Amino acid sequence: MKATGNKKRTRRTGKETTPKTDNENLGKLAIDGQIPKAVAYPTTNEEAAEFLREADSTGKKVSVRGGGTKLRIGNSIEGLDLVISTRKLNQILEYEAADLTLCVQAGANLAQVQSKLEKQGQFLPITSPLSATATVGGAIASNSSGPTRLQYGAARDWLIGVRFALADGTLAKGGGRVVKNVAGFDMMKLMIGSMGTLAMLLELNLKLLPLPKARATVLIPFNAEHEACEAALRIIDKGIFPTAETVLDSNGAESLGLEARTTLLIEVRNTAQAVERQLREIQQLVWQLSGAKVERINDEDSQSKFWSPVTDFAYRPSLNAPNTLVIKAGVVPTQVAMIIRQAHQSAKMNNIQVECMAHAGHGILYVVAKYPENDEETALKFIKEITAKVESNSGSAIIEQAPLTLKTQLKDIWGNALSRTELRLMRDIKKKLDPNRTLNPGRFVNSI
Amino acid sequence: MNKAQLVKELIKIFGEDSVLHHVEDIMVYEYDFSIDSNRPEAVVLPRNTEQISQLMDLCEKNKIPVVPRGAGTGLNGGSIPVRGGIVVSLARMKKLVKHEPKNRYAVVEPGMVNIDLSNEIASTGYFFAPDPASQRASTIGGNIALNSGGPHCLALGSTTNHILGLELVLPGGEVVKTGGAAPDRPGYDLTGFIVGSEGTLGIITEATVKTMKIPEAVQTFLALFHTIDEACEAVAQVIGAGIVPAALEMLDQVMIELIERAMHAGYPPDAGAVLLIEIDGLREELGDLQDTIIDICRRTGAFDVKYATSEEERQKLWKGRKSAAGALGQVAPNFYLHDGVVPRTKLPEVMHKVMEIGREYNLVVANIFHAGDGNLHPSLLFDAREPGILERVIEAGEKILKLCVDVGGTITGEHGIGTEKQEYMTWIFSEADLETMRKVKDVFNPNDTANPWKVFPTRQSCGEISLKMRLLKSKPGMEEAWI
Repeated sequence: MKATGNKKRTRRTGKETTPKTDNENLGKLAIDGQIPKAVAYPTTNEEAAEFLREADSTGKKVSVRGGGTKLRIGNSIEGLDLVISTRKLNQILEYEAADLTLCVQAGANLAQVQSKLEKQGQFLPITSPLSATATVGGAIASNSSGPTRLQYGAARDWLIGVRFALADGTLAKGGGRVVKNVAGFDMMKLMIGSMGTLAMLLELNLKLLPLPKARATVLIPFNAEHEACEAALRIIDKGIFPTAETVLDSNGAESLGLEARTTLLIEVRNTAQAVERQLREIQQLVWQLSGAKVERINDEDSQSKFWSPVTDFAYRPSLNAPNTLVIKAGVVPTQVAMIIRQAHQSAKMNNIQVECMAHAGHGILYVVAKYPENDEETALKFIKEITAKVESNSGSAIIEQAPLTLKTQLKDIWGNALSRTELRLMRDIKKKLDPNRTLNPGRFVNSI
Repeated sequence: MNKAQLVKELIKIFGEDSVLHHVEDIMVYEYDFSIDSNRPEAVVLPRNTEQISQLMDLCEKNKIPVVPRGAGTGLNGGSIPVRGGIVVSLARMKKLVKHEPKNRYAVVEPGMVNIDLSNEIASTGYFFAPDPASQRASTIGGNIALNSGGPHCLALGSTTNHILGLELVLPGGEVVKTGGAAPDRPGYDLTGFIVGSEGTLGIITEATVKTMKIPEAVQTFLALFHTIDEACEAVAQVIGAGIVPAALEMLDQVMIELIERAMHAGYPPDAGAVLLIEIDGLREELGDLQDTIIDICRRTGAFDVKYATSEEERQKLWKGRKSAAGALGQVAPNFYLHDGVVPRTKLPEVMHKVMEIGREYNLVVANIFHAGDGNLHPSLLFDAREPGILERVIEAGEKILKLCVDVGGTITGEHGIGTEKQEYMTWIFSEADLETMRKVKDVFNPNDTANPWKVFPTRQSCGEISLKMRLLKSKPGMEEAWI
């Protein structure tokens, strides 16, 4: 199946050269309360580059917008004159199923892309929360991942080529369309997770995988988080190769509509017989450890429905609320339980309600906290305690979501994990690629 | 600073026993497994990061080029000091610093030989996945610099997918640690950008790498076909059946004949293509996939399908593939090996054209390739003593790479650009693409002291640059080159 690549690349659905300034629309595009003065909907790479060039040369500040699902992540931007939306750059440009590769425009909707691939028995192993709204470009720019990262890794393992526009309107690329390619520097890695601060992503070339032949999900209750985490690691060490291992504390489980108790969720994907073997071994191991009963979800549809809110856990729209914050931490897997314990302790001491979800196999965890009304001092203390614990164990913690007033009190939502030299290199990269600080100024680490 | 002064300074940093500067001592550092060569002023053998930091400071202040070197098994000229200067051999920094099996990572020094890591940690049940064919000699630092591949990167990815963090000494001597064992360090992915940068950003002095659980079962299939087209069809159908094997390797008829002549791997003379398929994972998984794979091979025209489950049988099936480089050496004094990549679906078409190019230039071309990911390794066989042949070899090689690019592929899948392919970079990258890369390079290495004149085009016309000269200086021992 090949979608006439070259034709689409130059197709123009009416030239879009003037940003729109209709007010009603603009209010919806506000970021941290800042309403942009205009919005542009380029239909080609060249138009996107032209909007950027014009803004850059007249000192305007620009934010690139995909599905708008991760706008709350980052420090407050220093200014917002123009939003450039990727809404009209949303096509699959090339899909060669036999090559297991895809070339897609940044604004393509992630869920729609997945459903197209599914028809050919394939999928893109990159997960994003709120995938019904999220775009492929946004998932790459924010380095999104979810529970299945344990097996599939993150965006850096699937992006093989990228086309982008620099702030000055230069159109450039890195990588290519083939799955193995070491020509030139790896610009893909630089763009992944750069939060729209280096360039506007336009086209992404990605590797794909065939859909698994069979999958199964199990829920296992535990008495304590550290037991659940330990079980998760024992299973990996046994050579069982789970696809996802997620630990929920009892509040976390409850918020997902499960029974309020510590729960380990495991997904395995494999051939049918191998899945059965994996489940048997998981059951055996759990039996030895705690004697708990393993609950199994079998059919495809219920499994997808089950995991989707798990992926969205820390990004549910209801968390965009007063007195609510979300910490995302990355630690080595053996430290996950310790960080959950710290979160529970700090919560208790500070009269804060927390829900924890931890991808115990790969070390990413989320702490959702509701703090006493208007008591930002307590919230800051709580953040400091957890961040310190994570960072003193060679991990990193960022405050992914927080009310604006709290955010402005935090010096840097991205934490303090980076060294001076790392920051110097990052600042210099930003300076080279976006010297006028046109793109999302201030949003990223150390307010780059 | 003259050479005597330089040597004195180097001895201050490294000690007498770690500085080589007499011609007879440094000669072996003047080339790698490519066809280029040039002699450095001196070679140093550091034992720690601090020494490298002092060296980078000294060299930056005096604008002396510094070229890092692992085992020298690179095929692209990347470790050759084309502007002279100091070669930094990482051979003595080869310790396993730590391995945490539960957290699935290890910390190693860059001079550690690839296979040594997997061997050292084997008792824990874990291994390091990247397996370039040079893995018995090449170092992990070198693998990182070139983002090396290998037969098994089809399922597990290239080196970059296995590198979590680095320690890098920048020109000027500043030491930076990037990434780490914990996931999602905030900020730009410096680690990912440094991997594959061919030593042009600084010197890697430590790496945090992923380790993976050794799969409990491996199954290897060897299918014999009459034609490459049939074998390619089998590859397409295996992938189409939703199977991503651990490895999918192919040999063409010329290669089969050469291997047979050199070491009798047991390939029948009428075989037009050998396809090696390897799957690994749980026993049940292999059981489920085995029949499908055999069935596909038969249906697409295989006249014989062998398979192995024991390690001994497996090694037997791999023997022919792994002896390819040696076999080439036995039939021709020289060979020139390329590393183009094409979309998997273009393989049959490209293979026919590669053979046409061979005929057009009257050259024997033997092919071995990573069929699963479309990575070709055509070897042009020749005798460098034959007048006029070098020009033909280079032109034919260029044509093959151009062909790869024309069908949507690239000029290198795992060997890197180095000096060998820098002029071809403009075939795939625009001036804007290259300029953007250069801007980021300048952040790390603004004065081009770290591995200068590599990767980027020299902007001289192809006819004038040393490429052809390099072939003329073709070195003995090339038959041991790694594929």
